[in-house]
Amino acid sequence: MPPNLIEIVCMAGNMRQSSCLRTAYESCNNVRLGYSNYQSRILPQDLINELPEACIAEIFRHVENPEDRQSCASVCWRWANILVSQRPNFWGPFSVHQAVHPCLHLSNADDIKLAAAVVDMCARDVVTDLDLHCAPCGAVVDGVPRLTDSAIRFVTSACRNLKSVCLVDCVSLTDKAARIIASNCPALENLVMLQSSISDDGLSQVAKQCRNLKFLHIEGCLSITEASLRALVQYAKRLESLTLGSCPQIGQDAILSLLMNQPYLGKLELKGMMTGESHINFARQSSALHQLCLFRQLSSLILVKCPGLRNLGMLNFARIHFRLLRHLVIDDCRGVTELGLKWLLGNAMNPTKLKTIKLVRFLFFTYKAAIEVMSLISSTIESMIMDSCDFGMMMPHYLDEAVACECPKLKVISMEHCERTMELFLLWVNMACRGLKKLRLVGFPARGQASHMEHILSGILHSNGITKVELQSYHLTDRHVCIVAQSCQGALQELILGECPNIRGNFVVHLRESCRNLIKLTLNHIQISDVQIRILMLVGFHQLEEFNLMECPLITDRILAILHASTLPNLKRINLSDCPNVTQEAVDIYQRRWEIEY
Amino acid sequence: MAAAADSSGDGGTSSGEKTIVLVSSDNSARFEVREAAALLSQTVRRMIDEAGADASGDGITLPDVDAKTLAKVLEYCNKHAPASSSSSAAEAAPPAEGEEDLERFDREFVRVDMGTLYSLVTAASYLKIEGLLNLTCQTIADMIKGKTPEQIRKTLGITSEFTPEEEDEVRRENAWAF
Repeated sequence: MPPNLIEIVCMAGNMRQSSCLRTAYESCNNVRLGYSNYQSRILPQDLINELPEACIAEIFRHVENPEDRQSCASVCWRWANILVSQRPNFWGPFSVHQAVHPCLHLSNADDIKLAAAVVDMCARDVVTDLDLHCAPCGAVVDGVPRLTDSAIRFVTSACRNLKSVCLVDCVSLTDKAARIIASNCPALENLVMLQSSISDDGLSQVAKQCRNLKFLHIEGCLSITEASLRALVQYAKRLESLTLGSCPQIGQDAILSLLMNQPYLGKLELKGMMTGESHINFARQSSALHQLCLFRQLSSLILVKCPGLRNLGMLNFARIHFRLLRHLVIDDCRGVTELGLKWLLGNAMNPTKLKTIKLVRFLFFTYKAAIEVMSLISSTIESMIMDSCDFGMMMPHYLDEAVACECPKLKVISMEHCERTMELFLLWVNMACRGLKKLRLVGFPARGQASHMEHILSGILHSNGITKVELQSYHLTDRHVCIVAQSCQGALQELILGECPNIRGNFVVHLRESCRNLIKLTLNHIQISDVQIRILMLVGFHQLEEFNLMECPLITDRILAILHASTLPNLKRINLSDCPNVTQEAVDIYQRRWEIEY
Repeated sequence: MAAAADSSGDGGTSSGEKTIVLVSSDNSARFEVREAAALLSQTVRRMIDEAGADASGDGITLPDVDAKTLAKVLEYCNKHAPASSSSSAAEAAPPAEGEEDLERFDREFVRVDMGTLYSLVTAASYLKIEGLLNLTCQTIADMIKGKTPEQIRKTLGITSEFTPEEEDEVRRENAWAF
């Protein structure tokens, strides 16, 4: 409508109304009514935010739709704060989710989403977990950071009872965010910051103000130095678990100091630390000489890819004992040798009661040392995982029988790419273990190298009631699988064969006859054909629940018909991914009967 | 600017109703209105109760409402005021006009520019006129409904998040950290 027309209408309206107001328009010469096309007009200034908060709140009370409220929350922080202080009397989608899980989890988080989510929640005091993942590449778009410190301030002010905060890839946050978390989350117990900028200042504040901090996980923070660790020692008295990853400024000294001065730390994990050379400052550690042995409560020690970590003999020097060590992982730490390992495990008189051990790329200089390590842990160990471990040059040809001892609790063994050590190690297992339940062998020695492997394998399988076997190797043949089947008999519940190109499927008769209680069968990347599967399923398997045949080139659509015709009453899941000769149509036909992954 | 023609406090109307004089904040305008209309405002009602009968001689000054807004507010009040004169029955008695008529009036009433609309919200909030407050807030809420945040910002002319004053406030809050 053209403005003039509206003006005339308004004036006419005024004159009609002025009879009620009597003296109004006569006395107020300056009264003028404006134009009435406000819907399309854009104001140059930000007038609405000059209203008092109570008025803005009153306007929001008339906005009832949860989506509209979320949109309002995303307009500016002032509006978000006002909305948060109003309690909505309806349930938005986040509230329903939140009633079941008191956590706020956002991937691709940014300011707008976060504001909308917080405003939508009904009972913010119930929320205890905050989990924000940003898209690693999308953190800053067009020069504008998408998740800012203000958002952290907003969410931590609204949710006062946060116990766990996890920020992943939030590169647009600054150290201010850490300080905000420190002051707004007094009940914080768990803090995880991966690739998010935090510095000593922020972390010290967290240590000072979050007195209940129990779990701390920091990775990818280039500016954390020893000062943070000192702050943790001084203030974070309840810290139970510390994980540090890729913090290049923290050296061995700092870690040693931490271990010496933090008596109640239960778990320490170091990933990708100390990648350069590091030297122990002997002068500083000399104070340790005054103390007797320090007993520390560490129960989990995990060292992953710390090449600069020199021999754990430093612990010897500081006389620190981990009497309660239960879980040990040494993964690709070239500097740690068997001496350090032996120190960690105590001595023959008083060994540590280790439960699980995982060694990756560990080098035993002598076989004797390896056996000594085994004997130190044999009475309590439950799980052993070894990957690419090797002996040094001294390859023994026989086993000293006096050294072998009972290993009653060992249940799980996994050996990956340990071809040179496998035979001797399994020989020891054959003599020492009777309770083994799960065996995983990836990478088998060739026939010529290890002549007794089959014998050893069948011995182990026979004398333990093994329930799960996983085998993967170029050198494995049908004969090995037959041995497995015949030695395990009815105890075997799960069989996994993967990447064994020399297995042709001739084991099926033995498997069918011997292992009647199979629950899960996985035959990945094996040259097995439909016919052989039919032979396998001839009398069916009453317990079989899951059947995986991934990447098998000889399997065709007939497999589904074969399975359909067999006696498999409990079969629930089938996986035929990457089988080139299986078609989608065939899979679709049988989708109603089983859950087929393709 | 002349004072109102019959601005002596107890001047009667042709229908013999009691009137009240309301003065705007800058003292630039005095409005004489029916008591029933003026009492739609809880604030005015309280002021009268506290001040007693003789305060109406000088007129009641409303420090937070300017002339232009007061004129508009009183326009609303006069329309929505009940027909009967006694103040105690003012709430119970139905308004002088019919429902549909009032709705039409309301719709026309809020077709003003944003500045006036915001002034009306503030005035209604201060004067505690429930009907006017609901009407104006609902109008603004209707402008917000169904829009994305970007559209809301554009329509209402909101710029960005942190104003310089808020930045300062944040810095002051964290002063111990620096």
